[in-house]
Amino acid sequence: MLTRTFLLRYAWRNLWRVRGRTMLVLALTGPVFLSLLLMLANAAALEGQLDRLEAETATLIQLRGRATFGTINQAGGLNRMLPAELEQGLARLPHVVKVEPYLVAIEPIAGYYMTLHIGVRPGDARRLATHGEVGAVDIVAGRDLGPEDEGKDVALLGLAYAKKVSITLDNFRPGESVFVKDLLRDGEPGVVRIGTRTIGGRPFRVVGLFTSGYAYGDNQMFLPYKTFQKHYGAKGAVSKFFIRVDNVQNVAAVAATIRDRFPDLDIITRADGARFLSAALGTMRRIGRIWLGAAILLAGAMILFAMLLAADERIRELGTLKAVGASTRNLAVVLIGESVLLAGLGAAVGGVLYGVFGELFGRAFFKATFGVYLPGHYGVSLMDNMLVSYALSPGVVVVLVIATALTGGLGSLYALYKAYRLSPVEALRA
Amino acid sequence: MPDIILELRGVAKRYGVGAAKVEALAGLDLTQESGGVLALVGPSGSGKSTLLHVIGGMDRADEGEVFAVGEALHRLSPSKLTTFRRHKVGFVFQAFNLMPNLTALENVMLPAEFAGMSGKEARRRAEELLERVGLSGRMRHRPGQLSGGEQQRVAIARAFINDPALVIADEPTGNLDTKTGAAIVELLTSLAGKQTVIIATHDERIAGAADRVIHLADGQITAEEAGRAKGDAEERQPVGR
Repeated sequence: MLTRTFLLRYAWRNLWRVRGRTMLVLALTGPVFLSLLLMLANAAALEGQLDRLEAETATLIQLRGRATFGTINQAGGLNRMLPAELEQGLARLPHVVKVEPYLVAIEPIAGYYMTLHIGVRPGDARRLATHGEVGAVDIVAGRDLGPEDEGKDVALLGLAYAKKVSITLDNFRPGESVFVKDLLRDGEPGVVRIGTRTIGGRPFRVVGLFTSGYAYGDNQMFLPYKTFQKHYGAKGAVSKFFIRVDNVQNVAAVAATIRDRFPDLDIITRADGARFLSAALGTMRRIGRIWLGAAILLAGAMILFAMLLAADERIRELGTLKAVGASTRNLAVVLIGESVLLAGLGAAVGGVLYGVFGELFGRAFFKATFGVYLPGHYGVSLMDNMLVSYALSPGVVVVLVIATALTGGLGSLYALYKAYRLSPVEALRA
Repeated sequence: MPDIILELRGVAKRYGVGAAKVEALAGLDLTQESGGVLALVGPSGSGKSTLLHVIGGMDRADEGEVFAVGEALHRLSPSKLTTFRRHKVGFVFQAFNLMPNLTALENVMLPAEFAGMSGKEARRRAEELLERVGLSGRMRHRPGQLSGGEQQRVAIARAFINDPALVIADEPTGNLDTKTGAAIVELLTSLAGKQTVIIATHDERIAGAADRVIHLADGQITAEEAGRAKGDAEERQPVGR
């Protein structure tokens, strides 16, 4: 132990002896470690987002009228809606825990965008009506809709929707009035007019903002159920039912029962959402792993090169150490110590950069990595809406320690090989 | 009967291949009793350094048997040779070979660390040795802050730290001026108590400080004489194969 301390002190001084080179290696490896941390933070946030969505959908069944999207104002509209009284029948089915009716209207707004207006009951989940209904939302400002809001003209807005009416997280004031009519467009050239809009012209008070992680998801506006019924004239009709089953193993059985009893419905289970999720997750994980591997290899290669120079320059010293009794293990302590110290310093630089510039670089980094492989709107909106932590947490320190060990170990390989084969006589002649 | 610390039988060492092959040691026999100073004298290329490396366990003979400090070096594995060097041999090099980023004290402590001596004991011994070589005031200095003579004193202290049975010095004065060189040789011989010191040199004057002088040429012992330490009266005795 004593020898190890002594040798590590010697290794440390060796780095200081060639401090110019050490600084250069740190300047090169620091950003590599930074990228590794950014990748991990983004990947963790993404996985968390997708895991949450997956968990949300695992025991969920969606019902809607056959061959419809369930939107109240599409062609066919109200005639293709589900009868509200279906809820009782569904709720009585074995293994069904909860039934949540949704009212959905699709609305064109400024530019070539569509928004979804969704009527939900106070206690029901705020789900996305897009992407296989895989999502739940996070309230990021203000409050959720409550029982006291039923029948009132209040709304919970997605961040993307809010942005179009110039509401942001920074300037949002709960209770602010928004004239939804101003957003709706009338027969712009090249735009297919969808349905009728009975909601236009009314001021809605925005009580809260949410984010979902999806571009379309964040273009949603939740309204109290009765408010939606009032404005869209949808009393007695439901766009879709979300049915929560008690256990994932019972989902197929419940779906089969529904198919038997209500043959004129489209039944959508997790498999639809899972297809999207597994594709997205698979891509993310592949990108993440490739990046992590490449970062470790790159930093390791830089350190390897520095150690290669060090071992060649100090061949006489290493020979002397062997001559005066250093074992190969003693030399390994010096060389691995030097390499790991160098890697550790690089990791520390990366950690400091991460702590200081993580927020600044994180989003750009996401767009340059995950974003490249995602459809355009995901690349932007996922990151904008995702809650990512760039704090220097204990987890980040653990990652840096592991990365240090890996890159340091990798970086010392050549020098170790040299030390193993070193003949003291040949080294002293060098 | 005096102890034999070193015995070489038919030791040969060759370098290179084919026409470029050089016979550094050509079937050399040598026996050395324990204690005293043995000088290996000869011109460059005579095989002095090679012989020291073989005796010190840094290199292996191609042929022959080498017994040193009770070990059959020709049979030892590389790791056992390391252990042998660590505990039984001290080295002094022509170019001092100190670690430039360790202080004089740390340089002297280095072999003790490898030998597993406690830090406290290693420091105590290193300080004592540095005091004996006249560097008590320069223990915290790094090699770059010391003169050549001072560096060689540090190297000598390093060679003695583990109290080895054998101290090997390869041209210890080669990089020093005459006066400093003489002082270094005097120091080496004065430190040698129970140790056997073997000095390789091509400087015949240094040999005068030895108890025994062996002349080498072309990898063979060409002559042997008692050094000045044993009296100038003794004549040089030719030794041949």
